Amino acid sequence: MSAFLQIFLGILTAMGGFVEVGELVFSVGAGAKFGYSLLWVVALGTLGIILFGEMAGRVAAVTKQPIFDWVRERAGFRMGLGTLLAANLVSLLTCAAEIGGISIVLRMMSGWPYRLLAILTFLALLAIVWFFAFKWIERFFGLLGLLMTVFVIAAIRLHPDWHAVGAGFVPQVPTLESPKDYLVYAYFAVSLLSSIMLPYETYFYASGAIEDGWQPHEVPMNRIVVTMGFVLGSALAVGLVIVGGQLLKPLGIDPQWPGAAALGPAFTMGRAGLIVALLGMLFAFGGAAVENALTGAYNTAQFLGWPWGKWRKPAGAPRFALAWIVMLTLAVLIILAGVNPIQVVEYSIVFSVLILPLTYLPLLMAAGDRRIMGAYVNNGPTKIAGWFFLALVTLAGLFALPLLVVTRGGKL
Amino acid sequence: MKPADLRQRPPFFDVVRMLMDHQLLDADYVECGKVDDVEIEITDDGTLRATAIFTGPGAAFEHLPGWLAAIAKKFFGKRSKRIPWPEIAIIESRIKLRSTSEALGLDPADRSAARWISKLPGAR
Amino acid sequence: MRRAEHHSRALQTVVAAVVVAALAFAIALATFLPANQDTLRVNLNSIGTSAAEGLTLARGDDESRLTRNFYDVELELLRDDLDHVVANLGHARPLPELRGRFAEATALAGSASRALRALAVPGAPAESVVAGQATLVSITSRVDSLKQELER
Repeated sequence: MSAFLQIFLGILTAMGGFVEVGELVFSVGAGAKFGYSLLWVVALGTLGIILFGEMAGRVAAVTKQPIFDWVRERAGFRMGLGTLLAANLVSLLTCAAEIGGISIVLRMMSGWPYRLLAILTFLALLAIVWFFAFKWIERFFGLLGLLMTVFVIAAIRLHPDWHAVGAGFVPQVPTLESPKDYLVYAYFAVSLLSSIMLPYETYFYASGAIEDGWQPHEVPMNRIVVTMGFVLGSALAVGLVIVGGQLLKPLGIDPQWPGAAALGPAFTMGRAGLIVALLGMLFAFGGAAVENALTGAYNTAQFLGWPWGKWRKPAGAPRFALAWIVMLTLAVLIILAGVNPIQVVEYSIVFSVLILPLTYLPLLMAAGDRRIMGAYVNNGPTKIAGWFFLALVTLAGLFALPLLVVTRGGKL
Repeated sequence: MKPADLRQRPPFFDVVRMLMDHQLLDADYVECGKVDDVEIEITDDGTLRATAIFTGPGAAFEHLPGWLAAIAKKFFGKRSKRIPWPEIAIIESRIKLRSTSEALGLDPADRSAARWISKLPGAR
Repeated sequence: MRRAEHHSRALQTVVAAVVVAALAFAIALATFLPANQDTLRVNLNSIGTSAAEGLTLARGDDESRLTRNFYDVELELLRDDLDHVVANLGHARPLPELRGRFAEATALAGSASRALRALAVPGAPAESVVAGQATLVSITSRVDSLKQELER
C-alpha cells in the first residue's frame, strides 16, 4: 500500500475513532449547559492526546515495547500492579458503558428489548475481534465511525454565532448565575478533558503500533496521522458541543441519554440525518468497546510477560485471547445487571482522569530517555509540554472525584 | 534488532535496572514471562555473581506484602521456574534465552490453554 | 527502590487517598444529612429537562423528523428518569421548611410522566396530544419558578 494511502487511511481511522459514548455525552452536555464556553477544553484535551498519542506510538516504534512493559520495568511488580488493576478497571467500566450505549442505540433503531440487544452486541463484538485481523478491526470501526461527521453538518446547519464559537476556544470562566454553577462548570471541564484524554487511547495506540509493525523511520508518518486524525476528530466533538449549545440549550434540554444528541441531525436533516447519526454512534461506540476490551488484554499480557497480539491467532496467544474475552464478558454482565450505562460512563470518565498521571508518567520518562530513544528522544518543547499536561491531569484528577460528589454528577 | 541498536554496556552490572521485571523472550523470540527474581551468590573472593533468574507467579508474588502474597498464591498458584544463568543469550531491554519456553518448562498455562482454544474455529 | 517506584508509590498513594476521602464524603452526604436544597434542585433539573425533551420529541414527531422507534424509546427513557425522580423524592427526608416543595416536585414528576405516556400512544387523538404538550409546558414553567425560589 502506498505511503500516502496508508497515511490517509490512518487519519480517517483516527478521526472516526475519536468519539466514544463518554465524550458524546459530555460534549453535548457541555454545550447544553454552558454554550460554547468549554470549547477551549476540547482544544486543550486534543492537544494533550496528540502529544501523548504521538509519544506512545514513537516509544513503541523505536523500542518495540508497549506501555505496560515500561510500567513493569520502571515501577516494578508491586507498584506496577496497582496501575494495572486501576487501568483495567477503568477500561472495563468504559467497555461496559460502550456496550450499554450500543444497546440503547440499537433499541432506538429496532425497538427490540435492551438486554437482548446487549447480548447480541456482545456476540457480534466477540466474533469481530476473534475472526478479524487488527488492521481490519481498526479500519472497520474507524471508517464507519466517520458517519459521526453528520454532527458537524448538523452544527453548521444550525447556524451558530461563529464569533461566539470562536470565542469559546479562549480559556475562560464565564459569568454564571450561582456559585454552584461554577462547580458544575469545573466538573464539566475536568470530565470533558478526561473524556478526550482517556488512558486506554495511549495503551491501545502503543500496542497497535507494535501490532502494525511500525519501524523508527515511520515516526514522522505517525506524527502526521496522530495530529491530523485527532484534530479532525476533535471537530466531531466541537460539532457535538455546538448541537448542545445551539439546539438543546435554548430548549432547556440537559441531555441524559445519547438520543438527545441525535436530535441535532434530526432537526436539521430529518429522518435521514437521525438514522446516519444513530449509525455513526453505533460504530463509534463499537470501536471504543473493542479497543477497551483489547486494552485490558494488552495491559495484562504485557505486564505479566505473556505472548500477546492480534497478529497471532488465538491459539498462538491463548491467555491474551482469554483476557479480552473475559473483559467483554464482564462488561456485558455489568450491563445485563441493569446498571445505567450513562452513569457507568460518568464514573469511568472520573476514574480515568485519576489514573492518567499513572499512565503518562512512565511514558514521559521512557520517551525522554536518550539511552533508549536515541535520536527519537523528546525534544525540548515536547518535554515541557509533556510535563505541563502531566501536571494538568494530576490537578484535574485531584478535583474530579470531589466535584463528581459535590455536583451530584453535574446535575446540580 | 541490529548490533547498532545495542547500547554500550556500562562498567558495572545493575541487576535491578538491567534484569528485574524485564521481558523474557525464548529462542523463537516468543514472550515467556518476566524476570521476577534473581539468584546471586557470593564467590570465595567476595565478588557477587548472578547465577540464575526466576520467573513465575511464585517469584513475582514474593514482592507483595505478606498477606497479599498469600492470597495471590492461593488463587493464581505459587509456581516459579529457575533458569540457570548460562541459558541467557542476550541481555538488552528484553532478555533473550537460548532454549524454547517449552524446553525450559515455562508458561505451561499458555500451552494447556492453547490445547483447548485451538479446537475453536478460527483459532489457528 | 527505583526512582520510578518512588514516583509510582507517591502517585498511587495520592490517588488512593482522594478516592477514599471522596467516597467517605459521598457516603456521609447520602446517609447522614437530610435531603436539602441541592437534592431538590437536582431532581427539579431532571423534571425540567425530561419535560423539555418530551416537548421537543413531540414537535419532531409532528414534523416527521423522527422514526417511530426512536420516538418511543426516547419517551420511555425519559419516563424512566421521571419515575426515578418520584422514587428519589419519595425516599428523601427533607428539611421541614422544604417539605412542601418536595411534595410539589413529586407531583410535577408524576404529572410529567403521565403526559409523556399520553404522547407515546400511537394514533392518539389530537386533543390528548395537545393536552399532554400543554401539561409539559406548564411543568417546565413551574420547575423554573421553583428553581428561582430556591436561589433566593
